[in-house]
Amino acid sequence: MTKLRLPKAFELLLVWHGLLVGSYTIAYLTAEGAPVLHQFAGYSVLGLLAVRLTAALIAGVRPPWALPLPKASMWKNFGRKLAAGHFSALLGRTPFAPLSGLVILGTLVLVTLSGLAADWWEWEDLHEGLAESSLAVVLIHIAIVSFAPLLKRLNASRADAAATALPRNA
Amino acid sequence: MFQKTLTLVLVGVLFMGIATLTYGTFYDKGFAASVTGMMGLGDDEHGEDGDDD
Repeated sequence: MTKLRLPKAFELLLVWHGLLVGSYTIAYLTAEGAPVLHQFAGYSVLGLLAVRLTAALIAGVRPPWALPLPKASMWKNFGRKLAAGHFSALLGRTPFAPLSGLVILGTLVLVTLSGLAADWWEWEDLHEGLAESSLAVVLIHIAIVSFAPLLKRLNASRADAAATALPRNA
Repeated sequence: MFQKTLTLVLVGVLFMGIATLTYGTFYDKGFAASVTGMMGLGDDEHGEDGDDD
C-alpha cells in the first residue's frame, strides 16, 4: 500500500505555477467576449499573485518560495563559462530563467492591478496594452525555460542514434 | 522536472477551465455561452457601443 505524504514546498510551487498558467490562459481567452468569466479568471490571477508575494515575504531568501532573483554569482559563472567557449553552460540553469520569472511576476502584477482599476475607471486601454505585452513576456519565458531541456533531449537522441549506428559500421 | 512542470501546467489549465466553466454556468450566461466565451468566440461587448463604422 502506498503511503500518502505531504507535498514538498517545491511541489506546492509547481501546483501554484500550474494554477497561474491556467488562470492566465482563461483570462486571455475570455478577454474579448466573456467579461464575467474574464473577471473570474483575472481575480484568480490576482489572488494567486497575492499568495505568491505573501509567501515570498514570509520565506525571505529561502528557496523555493523566495522571489526568483538571479544572483550576481550566477551571472559571473555563466559569463565566465561562455567567455571560455563552454557553450554547455546553456544546457544548465541559466540566470535568464529566474530573471524571466521575475519579469513575469512584475508584469502580471501591473496587468491585474490595471484590470482591477478598469472595473472602476476608464483604464481599459492601459489594461489591454499591458495584457497584450504580457503575452510576449510569457512566450519569452517559455522559450527560455524550454530551451535547455529540449537541447538536452536533442543531444541525447543524437547520441543514441550514433551509438546504434556504430556497430553496423564497425 | 520539465515534464512534471509541464504536466502540472496542463492540469492547472484544465482545473481553471473547469472552475471558470462551472462559474459561468451557474452565475453568468449558462454552459453553452461559457464554452463559446472561453473559446474566444463570445459576444464582443465593445460592439454594443454602436461601433458601426
